[in-house]
Amino acid sequence: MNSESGKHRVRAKLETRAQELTERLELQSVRSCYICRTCTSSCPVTFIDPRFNPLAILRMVLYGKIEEVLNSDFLWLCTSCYSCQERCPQEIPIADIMTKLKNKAFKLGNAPVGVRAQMDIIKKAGRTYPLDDFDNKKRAKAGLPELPTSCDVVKTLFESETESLK
Amino acid sequence: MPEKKDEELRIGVFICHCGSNIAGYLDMEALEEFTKALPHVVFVQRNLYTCSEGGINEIKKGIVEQNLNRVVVASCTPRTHEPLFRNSCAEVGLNPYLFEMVNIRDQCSWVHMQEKEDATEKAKDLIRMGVAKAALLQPQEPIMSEVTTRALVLGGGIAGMTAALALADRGYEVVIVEKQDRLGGMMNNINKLGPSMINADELVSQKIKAIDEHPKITVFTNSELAAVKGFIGKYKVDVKTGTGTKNIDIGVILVATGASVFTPKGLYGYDGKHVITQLELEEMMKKGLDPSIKNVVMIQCVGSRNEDRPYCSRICCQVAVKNAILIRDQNPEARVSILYRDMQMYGVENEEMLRTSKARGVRYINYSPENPPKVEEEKVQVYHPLLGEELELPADLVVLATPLVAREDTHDLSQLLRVSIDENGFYLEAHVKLRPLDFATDGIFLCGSARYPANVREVVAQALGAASRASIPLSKGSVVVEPIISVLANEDACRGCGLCAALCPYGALEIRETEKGRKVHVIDVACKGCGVCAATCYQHALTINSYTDDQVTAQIEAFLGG
Amino acid sequence: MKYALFLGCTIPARARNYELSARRVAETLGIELIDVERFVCCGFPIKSSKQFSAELLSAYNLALASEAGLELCTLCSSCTSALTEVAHELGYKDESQLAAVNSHLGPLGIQYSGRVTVRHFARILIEDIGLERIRKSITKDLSGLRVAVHYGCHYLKPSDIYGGFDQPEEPTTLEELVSLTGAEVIDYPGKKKCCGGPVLPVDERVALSLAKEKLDAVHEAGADLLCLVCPFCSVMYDGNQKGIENEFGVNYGLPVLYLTQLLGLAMGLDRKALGLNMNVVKTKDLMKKIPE
Repeated sequence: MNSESGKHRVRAKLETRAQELTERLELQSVRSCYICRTCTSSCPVTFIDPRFNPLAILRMVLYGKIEEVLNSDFLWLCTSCYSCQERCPQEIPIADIMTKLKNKAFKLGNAPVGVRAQMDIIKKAGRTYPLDDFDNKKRAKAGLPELPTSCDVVKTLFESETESLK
Repeated sequence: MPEKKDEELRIGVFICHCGSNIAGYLDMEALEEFTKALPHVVFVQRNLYTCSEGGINEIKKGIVEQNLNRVVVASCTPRTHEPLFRNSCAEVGLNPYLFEMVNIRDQCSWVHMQEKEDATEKAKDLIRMGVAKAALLQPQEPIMSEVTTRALVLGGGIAGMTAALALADRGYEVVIVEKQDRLGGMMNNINKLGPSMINADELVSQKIKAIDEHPKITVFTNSELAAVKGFIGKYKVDVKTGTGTKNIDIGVILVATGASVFTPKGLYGYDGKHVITQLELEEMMKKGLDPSIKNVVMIQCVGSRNEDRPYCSRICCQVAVKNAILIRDQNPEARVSILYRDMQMYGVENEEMLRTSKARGVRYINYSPENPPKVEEEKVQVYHPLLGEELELPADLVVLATPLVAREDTHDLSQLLRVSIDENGFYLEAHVKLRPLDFATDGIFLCGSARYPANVREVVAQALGAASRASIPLSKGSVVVEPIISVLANEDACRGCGLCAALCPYGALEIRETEKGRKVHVIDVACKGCGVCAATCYQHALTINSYTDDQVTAQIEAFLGG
Repeated sequence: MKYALFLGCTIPARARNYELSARRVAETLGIELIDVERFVCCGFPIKSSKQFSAELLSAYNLALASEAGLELCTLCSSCTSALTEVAHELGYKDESQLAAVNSHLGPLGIQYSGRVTVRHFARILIEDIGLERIRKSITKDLSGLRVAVHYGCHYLKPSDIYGGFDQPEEPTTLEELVSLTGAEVIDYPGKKKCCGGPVLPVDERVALSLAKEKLDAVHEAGADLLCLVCPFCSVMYDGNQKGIENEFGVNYGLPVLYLTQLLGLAMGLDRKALGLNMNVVKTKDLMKKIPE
């Protein structure tokens, strides 16, 4: 076996792994894409920053480059606006696929700081913007009802979930 | 119905307004007044639409009441309405060839919309010329010829076999001439047929069995057409067989010679082993694909849609998709990638097959001809324009989709049959939409991939259609042709030089030895009246009915004399 | 007409003007909004990190509403889509999923029945109150105003969970509601485009560029104000308008009003009662175009 063909065996193995990952994440629907580019032309983000291109991401998944997507910065530029998904003539749930990819990337520790911070704060406080007594004072001044400043429920919920995943 | 020589000429002229198509741009009253004064014209009438039922009745009434013996209609193009007006004459007993048509719409009102006066003058000239010719018209009788009720089918592939059976089932004798040692043609090398995935062998053996058992079909294998003489209904053909040459009388000929597959010598490292054609893959899959093959890369449009062969071979996309599915069936672990330029999966079932293949995990990668894939040892590199990078695909087997090309002998056979071929070397039909299964030459028909690459479904449909077309003369038992043909008007002048026969595009002239020496003979059923012979003959021996020298000269004189 | 009011995270902390105006408009129309203290985040902000956790949060909120025997009324479009999606999944798909979710809710002493309706306030106005009844509450003619509406994404999408409400490619409900005030609704390019909010924690420049595109278009079209139905979108267009002006060297001064604020004005409600003093881009000049 020369080193060239050895390299290809590695490449073939990588492909197999990518294929498995695609199936585990239930992304097989990307196969029905016929490259009409409706997703990309509907995407408000591509227009601003071409690094994010829904069609290219679908093709990368299809061509066994899913790990490249999971390690990328651009994946997180998706706003989940659903324009692509609504218009896809092949009914590929593109926005849902982006969510699945982001979930996987998060699990691999590849999420941007801002996204991780959001997760942490919700885990802790049950809200993106935790309320304190000062907030409640302002609310009262405006004639709005008081709201709880802490949240134990979330802790229990996340614990229960982590428990079941063990 | 010879006219009496001393009969008084009574010409009626009908001038059509064509709504405002003509009347809106010409001075119709002036035309009528002018026409009335022309020699032998005894009746002139203007009609809103001469081709309408009312207009037709006016012509008939004119012939009966005015005792007209020549009719001229000045209206539109004879291409569409001449047969109608001729029939109208015939219906009231006037020989239809005593009718003349003048086109004052296309040649006057349409092309000179802004110049009413000049256009009207031109219309006057044309009518004057038409009337001058009409005065010299002679009655003609249609020509009839017997038809031998036996068909010759060239090619014993799926097209030829289907057509032969369709004709034989109608009760006609059929002779199949096949070059190879057995029937079946390219189908013998094919594995399964998409989208239904039936075995090609099954279909072929069914047809062969039916042919073997059919009392009306004679098959010559290892044979080819050596010579063709004659014309529709009366062909004499020589078939060269392994044992000698057979001379057979034939009524109609069907060309079902198919096509061959382009061999991609020197392209993408083609070696017939690891880099093969789709047809070679078919044979490989018939035997069962090697289970060690895990990565297959197919490349589409190899040797087609380029400068040498600009056409799309139509069937390769379906074939690749079908084979990709079958590979996944035989070897579920195998990964199949199809590198394509455009996928041509026309029709509901093909599109469905494409979707199925995608659902089954077949990968499609677009490539551009400027950046073709590179086949290397155990891998294929392809530039992906969208991702802007080279993708590297592992490949144990590379399959090239090469086009169907015209068979090498197409040119020679086309000369033998006197039929046309197109710029890609395939046979050319008489008219792409109106006569898609006929050749321009009467009595010769066409089906299957001899015309253009077609899948089995299309080939079968064409073969049934061509058999249907061919059975028209066979069932009538005779053919009737227009009498506007070449005639040897002056036999003494003919020196038998044969120039006319050499130039005739329809094979309608031959030189015969007669008591008076070598003379040309017109095979009237084969003649189309194109006039090439009459124009060529420097002895003025030949002339064309209804376009005689006298008639044409009279027209020219009428024009100059205006 | 009684609904559980789901405020979510952004509104009580950063969009009290929305909350105030919604409560006032609801009162005027006889809609009873019930506060459920125990509501937590809808889950939307963590959907892209951990979808299952997000769905659990949604399910918990749905369970609370179902316990109270109330339909949910949302004000935030993102909350609307997150809650509706889970209600849709658990209500119409296989029961095993519902059972799995309930096994996690168990420790909290609550179970979800699988049947709670979630609707945005604007949708409730259209479907339960009706344009005619709202029209009767309108006392002021706002015909001096040129209004651009912004639908945002999750008010209408993903459309398969919204049971045929409005048409995501050609929506009309906001136009219909705004037209009740007599104001002129003007069209502008990119009406259906996203505000960019969700990528704010990822790439601020991209998020602000998206918001800028819309502000440019609305400004160009000559609108007096931008009207919307989501606090997230408002953060982008109102809260960040000054920042966009500074970053890109542009100048809009475009007031951004919640639909409830605009309707409240037409109902003759007090400016302060509608929280218009809390809008970031000043609305005082706008008041001059409205009859006293």
